[in-house]
Amino acid sequence: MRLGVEKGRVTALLGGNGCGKSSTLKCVVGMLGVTGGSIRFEDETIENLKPHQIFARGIAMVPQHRELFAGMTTAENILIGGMTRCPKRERKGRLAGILEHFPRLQDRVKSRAGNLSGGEQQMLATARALMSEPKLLLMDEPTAGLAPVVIDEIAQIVAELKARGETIFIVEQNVRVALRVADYVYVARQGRVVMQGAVDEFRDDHQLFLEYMGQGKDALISQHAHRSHR
Amino acid sequence: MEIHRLFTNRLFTPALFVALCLVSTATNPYLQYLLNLILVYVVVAVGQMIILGFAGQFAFANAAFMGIGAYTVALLGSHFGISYWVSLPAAGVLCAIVGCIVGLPALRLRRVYLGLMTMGFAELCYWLFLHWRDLTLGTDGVKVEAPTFFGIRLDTDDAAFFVIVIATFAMVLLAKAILASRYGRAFIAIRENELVARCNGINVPLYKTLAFTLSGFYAGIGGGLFALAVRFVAPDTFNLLQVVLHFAIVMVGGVGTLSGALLGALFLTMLPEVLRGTQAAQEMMYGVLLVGVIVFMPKGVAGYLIERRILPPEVLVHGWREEVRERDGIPQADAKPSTAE
Repeated sequence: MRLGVEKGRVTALLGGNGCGKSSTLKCVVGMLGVTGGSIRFEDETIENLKPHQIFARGIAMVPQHRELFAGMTTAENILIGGMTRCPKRERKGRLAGILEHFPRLQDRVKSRAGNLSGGEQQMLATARALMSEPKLLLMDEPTAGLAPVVIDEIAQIVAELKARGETIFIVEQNVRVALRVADYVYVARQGRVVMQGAVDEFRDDHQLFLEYMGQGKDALISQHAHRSHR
Repeated sequence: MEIHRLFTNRLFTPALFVALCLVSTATNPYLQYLLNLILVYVVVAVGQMIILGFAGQFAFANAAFMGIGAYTVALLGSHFGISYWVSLPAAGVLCAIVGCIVGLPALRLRRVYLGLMTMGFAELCYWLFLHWRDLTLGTDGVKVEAPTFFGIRLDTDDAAFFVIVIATFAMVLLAKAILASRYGRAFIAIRENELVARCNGINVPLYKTLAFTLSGFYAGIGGGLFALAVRFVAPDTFNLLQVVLHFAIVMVGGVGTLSGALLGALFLTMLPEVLRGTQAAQEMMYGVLLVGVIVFMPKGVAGYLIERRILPPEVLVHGWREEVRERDGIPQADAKPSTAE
């Protein structure tokens, strides 16, 4: 799978279940061992580094299913995100800055993370990752399992982060959200990138794109090959 | 004034220290011995709490570390004539090193497998204490020489008390400082969710090893103090029952709270003595009371008292301390203290 993420832009990796999206992210952050190929970040090879070393270089991940410290409060969860990459003197200011961007979390700052709604938990997981001021933010299916109205809210947050100039690599199954927030899109199938391009290209060729997302339309691969030739 | 504020008062620790010293002047030898034993178990329980209650590692090697600490002090004194003041820290350091080594397999093992491995280590140590007669004198045990302090021989329980109480307070305050630092936060993060801890830049293998090292250090010092309190070290003290006792202290006291270690040690050291009058029914009543505590206080005695605002809540992430002060240590309705899995 050959992927690239440009600084200050949102790149999305789309694909159905089992196509290797989450595994790709886990390889980037060092949770899964890489058996072949190479991962480079800012001219440095990182595939042999430990997760904490990768985090120290400025790559933070918002895991799938949020994965919060359920017994801790909202504030405690966010502070843990900055434990290793936020100097003590900056901690309070950075926390206040993050809470400004997430007004709903501001209201629930002393609540246990386990008691938050699904949307709030997703916001909290994102806020926690932002506490380390990452150079690259990885988001693993941030809209999975959320109600449509909450999905719109999460998409809005990602759009705001994009407007702030954050570099984001988002893995999604939700095509609508990906098209709304991303600048560049990759489509994966069975561990391989089968389509890629600027998001406008996909908007123009929406039908083809949806067919790919539906999977099982092998004939379309030849269409794509033809399209690539053009 | 609410009771929990009493415990957060800065004068509470010095006042407790003075009160214990005063109590010791007015007790009989039996109660003095019991008080010494409670303080020793506080140190050992803090070690078990660090590894099990804070770092969330199912490790049960503390009884072995305690035995190694006790034998180190006893053997260095009796075989080599080394002063207690040297052998006590040596016991702590040795157990910290052993703890670090025992912790290495913990990087690959989890939960029940880690529990079995550490229990096996405890049983191996017990076997060595029992059968390595050339060194440990086997079932005959080793008599512990009374230390001297500026020419004064500390050979009574009253004299030993002052060493034990100072060491216990120092160890508890040290644990409090460690748990309030980034190390404590890392332990809690690992306990709560190891995957997320990794995602947030925490060097999980390093902190796990550190937790084992610290736990070993505490148990080693506890063992050294135990040797001073009892003045005799024998293998049977460090058998599987001791493993169960340490585990019970943490569970009954309250997992993940420093106050739980203190209360658990107090409760489980006192209970057999309180039940001594019941003779044959002692063990049965001991068991029933333990089951009762677990059933009716699933978060342990400390958790129960925190929920009823008798004890102050223990802050998990101390960067938020200012906010906790603002709300006077009163938790929100839904801000319950967390527990280990």
